[in-house]
Amino acid sequence: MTAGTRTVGLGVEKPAAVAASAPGRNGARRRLTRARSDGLMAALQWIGPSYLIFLAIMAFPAVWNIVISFFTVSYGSDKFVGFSNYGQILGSSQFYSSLWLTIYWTASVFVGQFLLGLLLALFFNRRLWVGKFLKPLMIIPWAVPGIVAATAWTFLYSQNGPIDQVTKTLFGIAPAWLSSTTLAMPAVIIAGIWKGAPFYFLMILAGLQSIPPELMEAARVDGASRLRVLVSIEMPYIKNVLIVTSVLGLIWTANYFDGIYLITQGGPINATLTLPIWIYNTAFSDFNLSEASALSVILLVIVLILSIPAIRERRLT
Amino acid sequence: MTQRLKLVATNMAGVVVAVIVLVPFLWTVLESFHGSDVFAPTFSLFRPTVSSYQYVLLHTAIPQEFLNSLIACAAALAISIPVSCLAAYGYSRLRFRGKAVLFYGVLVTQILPATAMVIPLYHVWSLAHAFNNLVALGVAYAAFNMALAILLVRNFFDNIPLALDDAASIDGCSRFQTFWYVLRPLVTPAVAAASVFVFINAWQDFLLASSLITNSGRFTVTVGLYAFEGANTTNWGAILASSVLVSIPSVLMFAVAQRYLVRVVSGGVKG
Repeated sequence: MTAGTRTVGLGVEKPAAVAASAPGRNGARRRLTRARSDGLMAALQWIGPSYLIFLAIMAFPAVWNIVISFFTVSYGSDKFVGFSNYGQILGSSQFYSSLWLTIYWTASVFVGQFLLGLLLALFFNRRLWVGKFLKPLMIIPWAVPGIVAATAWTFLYSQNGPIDQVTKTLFGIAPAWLSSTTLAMPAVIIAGIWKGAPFYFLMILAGLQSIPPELMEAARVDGASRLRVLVSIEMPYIKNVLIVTSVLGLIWTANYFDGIYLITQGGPINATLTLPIWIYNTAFSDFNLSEASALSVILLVIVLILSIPAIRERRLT
Repeated sequence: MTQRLKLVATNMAGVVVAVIVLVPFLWTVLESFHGSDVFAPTFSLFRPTVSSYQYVLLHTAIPQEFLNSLIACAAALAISIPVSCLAAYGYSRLRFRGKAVLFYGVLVTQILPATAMVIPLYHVWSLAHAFNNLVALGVAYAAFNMALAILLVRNFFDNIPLALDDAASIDGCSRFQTFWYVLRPLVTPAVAAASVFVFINAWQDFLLASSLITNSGRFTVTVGLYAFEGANTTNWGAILASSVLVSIPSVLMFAVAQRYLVRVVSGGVKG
């Protein structure tokens, strides 16, 4: 997109709509039967209902939550405490440990999902008799609710469960995956990679299949190696798909709750207590709603700052 | 001949890869037909039985929770789909000041994570005495999924030539008549896809349902299943059978939606 379009449309508009609303740029496309503006009141008849719901379920709660984060909420009396809830959080070592765990979780799961999805997509990007039958099955991990994935993995990791039986026969050891502070995080990361990889698989496969066959044929005639084709043709061609998939995947993963909470509840000894789970436990296990409110504000600010480029990316690419 | 052999080998490899990826779920499905003694040596003779399913359907709250989930999903669909179609039309066809900013707002709601919103919603739910109300839960689901629906349907509107609107308006259609009689039938695929995604997201939700529903009689399937696991830690047969049952609607919907999926996700990009 050109810089000119961006200034007109605040970077959010689509080219066609921009052309229509800025007749000077492209007079031929201006519709004479239409007024220049339909007016905000007319527009509200169409977009008003959606905004009512957004205001009631998103904006108002977010603002109200900021107010509450300056109080301590207790039975009967709410006391204004200024920034003390925030001080409590920023002064506790748990905050930094949870922040680190969130980064650790997000980065590992992202890399794992991306690589697994890419490898599967590369494998299935060919003519296979079984492809038509297998491809829909491959998205099952992503299609099952988080609680089902969590149940399956809790079962697999359980003492004397299937994984224990396999490692015991092969290596003679049966580590207690979910009750070890060092192994619990890798365990939920593996489950998380399994759950989300099909999303990358599906998106990357669709991207690969949009590459014109002539391009691949030309590379083959020129004698390019498989790796060379991947690096010089396939990856650049699907760059946009990779960016959007990764941005969405990163946001989803950083905020993922079900997969961790339903397997470990953040334990053992807070070893898997990422920020979303800490918030949930603070509110619903410790019943400290005011601190949970302040934590939500902090998480919201972090997410919004991180996603501004993502929103721009989505509209501009 | 070697060509053919290679082809067979690749297909076999494909099956092996798929089985490896699916092992955790296949295990769940297999063990759910195992009856109650799941930890009997798994490699011994396997005689499938539906006793676990019988138990789940007759002696647990899962059927009631299916109904609860369906109510919340239906409310989410009934609210989000009409409202999103109106908004999508507005963003696609109307010109007004502040449109870019308002549309930006929609995109922001798509990114707001439920994990950061669950406490704010909890406060508002207690202000409004809306706990344990499945329709209120459906409204929350609607809010969290409307951005996706608006984007998807707007994309379809954008690809319909304006000439169609002009023709309808020359024939004397009002804006709403144009929307309802001329354009709405043309965006049916997008509306269908959006509905499927709203349903899937609502069906799979655990976080909102677990904090906004406190009465076990109103639990949705995901929360109900979690509670059941907490109370029956040893009855793996029933737990796994419930897991399979809870997965069926969302897996079916995914199978339907798969061909739309790629377009939905990249829809925001290409426009």
